[in-house]
Amino acid sequence: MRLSEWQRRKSTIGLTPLIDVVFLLLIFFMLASTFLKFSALPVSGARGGGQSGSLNEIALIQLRDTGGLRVNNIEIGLDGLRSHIAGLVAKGVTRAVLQPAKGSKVQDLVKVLELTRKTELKSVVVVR
Amino acid sequence: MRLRTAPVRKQPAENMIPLINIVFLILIFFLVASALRPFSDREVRLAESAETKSPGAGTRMAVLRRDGSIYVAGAQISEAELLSRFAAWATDDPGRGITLVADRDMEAPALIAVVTSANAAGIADVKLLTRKAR
Repeated sequence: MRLSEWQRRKSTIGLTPLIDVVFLLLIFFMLASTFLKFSALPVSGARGGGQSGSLNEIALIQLRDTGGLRVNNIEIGLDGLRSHIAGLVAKGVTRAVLQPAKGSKVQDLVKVLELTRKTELKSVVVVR
Repeated sequence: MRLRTAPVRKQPAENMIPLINIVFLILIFFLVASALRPFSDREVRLAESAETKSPGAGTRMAVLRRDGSIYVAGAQISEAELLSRFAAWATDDPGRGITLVADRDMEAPALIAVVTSANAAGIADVKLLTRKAR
């Protein structure tokens, strides 16, 4: 009786290596993981020899270094962009060219790109 | 009779099992609730956007820091090396696309220069990684 009980206890697997590995995994996942939600915004540059079309179909959106906007040389706030582009689309504009000025930041570019993606424009390309 | 004389010495070992339970619980929490970081550059602060659209698995990444330095796969490379990298990627697998990890305070024209050169190299699918604003 006593002998068999002794044998059984001897064959138990040690818990320490298991804890070591679990701690290791825990530390790995704590360092390598994130709770942020990411997003990928498509950006396309202008290419030569693209679609042909009348210049009237293209709107020029200029991003100033102050964060302000000029659409076809008319000064516009960020919140007025969507309605202004809707007006242009009604006049036959289908595409837009977005040109950020020197000194404007990526954050402003992302804001404008996101707004233009919500409009009916077929394509928005970025140029320098 | 004789056997009884041998005392059974029970070691009052600390019980490890509750500790393991808790550690397992935390491990499973991190596994389920979080996602692996798509890039590992802690210098870069991403631009914020309103929508969430996953960058997709298997996309190639180039990190553009605020000062204009470029990192691919953890190693800093020059602008000329980036262009040759773009060309190699385009011939290797043109449909795969790249994701640019740009700092939000980077100059927008500099980012566009990179986008344009990627397009010129033959990579049509260029995306900019952003993070969803809270």
